[in-house]
Amino acid sequence: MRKRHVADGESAFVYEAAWMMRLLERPIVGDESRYDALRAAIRAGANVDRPIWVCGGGTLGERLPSVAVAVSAPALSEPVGYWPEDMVIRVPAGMTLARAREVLAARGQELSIDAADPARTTIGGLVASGICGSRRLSRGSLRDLLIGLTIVDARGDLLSLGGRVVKNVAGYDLCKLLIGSWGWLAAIVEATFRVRAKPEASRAIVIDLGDVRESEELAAKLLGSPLSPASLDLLDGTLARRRRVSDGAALVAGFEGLPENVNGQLARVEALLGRHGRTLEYNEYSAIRQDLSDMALGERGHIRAAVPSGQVVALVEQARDVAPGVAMAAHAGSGVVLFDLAETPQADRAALIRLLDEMSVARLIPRPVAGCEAEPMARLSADARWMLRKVKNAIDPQRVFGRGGRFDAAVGDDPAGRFQ
Amino acid sequence: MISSDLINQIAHITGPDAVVSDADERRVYEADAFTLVRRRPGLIVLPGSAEQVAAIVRLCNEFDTPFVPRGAGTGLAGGALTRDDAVMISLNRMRAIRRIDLRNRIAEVEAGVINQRLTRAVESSGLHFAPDPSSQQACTIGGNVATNAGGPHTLKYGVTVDHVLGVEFVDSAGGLRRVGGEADEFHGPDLTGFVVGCEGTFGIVTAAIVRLTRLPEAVRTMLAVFDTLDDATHTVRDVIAAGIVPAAMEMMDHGVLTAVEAAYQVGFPQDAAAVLIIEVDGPSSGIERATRDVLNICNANRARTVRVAKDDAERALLWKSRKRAAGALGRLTTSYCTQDGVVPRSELPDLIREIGEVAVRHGLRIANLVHAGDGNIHPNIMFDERDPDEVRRALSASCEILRSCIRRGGTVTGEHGIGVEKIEFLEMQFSPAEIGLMLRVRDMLNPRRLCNPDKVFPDGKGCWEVRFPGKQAPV
Repeated sequence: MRKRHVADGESAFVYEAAWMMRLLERPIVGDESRYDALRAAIRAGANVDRPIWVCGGGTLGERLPSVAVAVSAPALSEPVGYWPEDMVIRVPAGMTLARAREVLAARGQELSIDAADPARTTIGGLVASGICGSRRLSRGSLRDLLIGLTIVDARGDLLSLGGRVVKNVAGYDLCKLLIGSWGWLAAIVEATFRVRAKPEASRAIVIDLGDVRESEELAAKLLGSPLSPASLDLLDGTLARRRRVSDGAALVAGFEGLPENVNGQLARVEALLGRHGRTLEYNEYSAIRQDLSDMALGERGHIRAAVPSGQVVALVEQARDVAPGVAMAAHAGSGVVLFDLAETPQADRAALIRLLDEMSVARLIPRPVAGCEAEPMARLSADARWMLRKVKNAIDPQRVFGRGGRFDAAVGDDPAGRFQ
Repeated sequence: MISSDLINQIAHITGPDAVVSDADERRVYEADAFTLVRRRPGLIVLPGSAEQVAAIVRLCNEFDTPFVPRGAGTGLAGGALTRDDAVMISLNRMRAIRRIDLRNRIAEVEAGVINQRLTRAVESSGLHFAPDPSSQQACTIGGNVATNAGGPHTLKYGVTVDHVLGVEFVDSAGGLRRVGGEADEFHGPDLTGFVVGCEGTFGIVTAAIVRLTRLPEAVRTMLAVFDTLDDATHTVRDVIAAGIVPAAMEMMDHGVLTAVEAAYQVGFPQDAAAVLIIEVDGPSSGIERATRDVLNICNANRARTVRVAKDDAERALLWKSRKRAAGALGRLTTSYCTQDGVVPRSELPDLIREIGEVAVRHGLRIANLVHAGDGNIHPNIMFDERDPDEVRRALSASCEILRSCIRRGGTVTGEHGIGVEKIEFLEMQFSPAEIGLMLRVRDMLNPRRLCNPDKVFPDGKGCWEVRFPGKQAPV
């Protein structure tokens, strides 16, 4: 796959499909037209009946079909708007998460989303994947933090959805449909988030577990207590050792906020759980969260499974029975179980998929690895498929975005045209 | 207007006692809390189950008859208004809390469950349903879902959509659908989040799986009194900018606090320009520091007095005064119009000042209730509906304020919805292409437009004669 710049290096670029270059090689002048190349590419692709693939930072190692036209939002490095006193930022989709963090940190603020490889993950990719890490327990998921989007639709129109205020019920909130849509409905070019003050203190406590099973009672106690952990992650022995967190399975409870608050809660955890723990300072705590997010990275491969938080340990235990070679972690407070496929034998991968099917557990496999096809959304109910077809027919009736891809397959592909 | 054949068939589904066809009895349903447009529904039916709702909707499709869902009728934008050729489907009999799962902190409830009843059902377990609109003693979960309702405590806890994991709804053709589920994480587009706030324009929500939130261990509620509106709004701005996230931060200006004091004797000084009710909550460790930080910011902004509620009784009185403030305004005027705009929080001082200028320019009294931490204003424009010129001025003032919200980067509704009241404002906020996209989605999901017709979008605005804006209900 080749990378070609459309105009200057900071503006826009496309992947593959050299025949499209003619249509795209036009100068990009100033802010007013910064999305012109993208809009032109989408219109052009639609005109010649080629599917459009929207790409982010390539973090998940997406494989594109050869017939597709790949487009990407301009790789801009400055926010479109930043209103620190309102705790709101609007950033271009092509900006990396690391850069957004840098901009916010300069004003003592943060976008409280943990994601894989922030130096490569783009804001557009973040929204399009809908994947959130450890701190969704306290800070909310993208659904809670995203308040506005600018998109280019299948007609090449630039449209604003939502706004820049934290409460807004005017018309349909179409932003919700773009979260987790993997570029299947439109190309995201800007996103507006509510942000938070960077916490004064951020620390965690590690509770060593003799066995993963112990975490069920401890997590229930913690989540049922007056304490408010920022994150609650479970690592099995393999991952805990690999990340040098513990010699065996471990529960990592993070706390953020005022120092008095954080220290007070950390002190109460041991008494509440009746266990001794080891305190992690900011850097160690951040590193563990980042490690868990990085399980999604391209070369490794993982499965995310979503269950109610009270069922995490049951799922982990059953998975261990059928696939003893798989390493696991979980955002235990949010009901997300992460199965690391990096060193998992192929037979175990297949057994794991079978188990998840049998249990009707929703799962997401961001990229294919041997033994597991990529699945942006699996175990969709018939009603969800019905509604997604309707939405697709309304927003992208010509099926310009992602035609023939895995999303189409999940919804019920109809290559002849409209979804029925 | 409704064919007798359709009435009979509906009665066959629900039983005759669930059908209201008498003209006088139908009058009760001719308006919701938006009282200035009244239309008597052709028929009211109160189904007892989602399956009955689905069967009624299929019948309405068969008879080519429009249908409109209704919760408790506390909506402030006319979302439950029903034409006389339409069937109103009231969900008040669907009051079952189907399931409470304390371990996973979720509940599955039918649409007609009253908001506060859900909290009452779980508070002994240390949990609550966080969205708390001021009408929470009467409004239903189904209505909350339809309008994505807010409330004072949404500043920290979020609006309804942040607490809904799954919805069950009857689609426009009568199919019973479920999207979302019990897990926090979902894969693919957020269909549940999309359904929330759609004001029943493509289906009728019959049940929801909602998240239950732990009650805070410690709460401090403060009352700060200010001599100028600027000092109060600057305090709001500074609290937010300092990174403090109070559970709630509510402002009442002189007009409101005068009425509230007369009604509830809270102890508000009658010569104050504004008061702020600021609440911080969370684990006990750290609560004193958060309280101290807020007090310092109030004092730095020249608060005349700041006091912390000494006990639960005083705290309850403060909240009673806030949640019933709109009702208390009835002491000052025969009619008033409550608007619902939102601006970026830093714009609040200028907007409040501008509202004062609008009041002077139009010769009207305007009293402001503000979910200040969210930038969500509720200016109450007082007028005498017997005076046509005053009515005209009230309407103009209302429009000017909402236009200013849009100009300042905000929105024309933060929690009440568009309904029929604000259809025209949608066109001011969104481009034709943006509205066109929403309409394409609506038409795909409601192709015959029988489900709650002529609401929210400009293609229905000709059907309602909104002579002047206004309502008298909690906000």
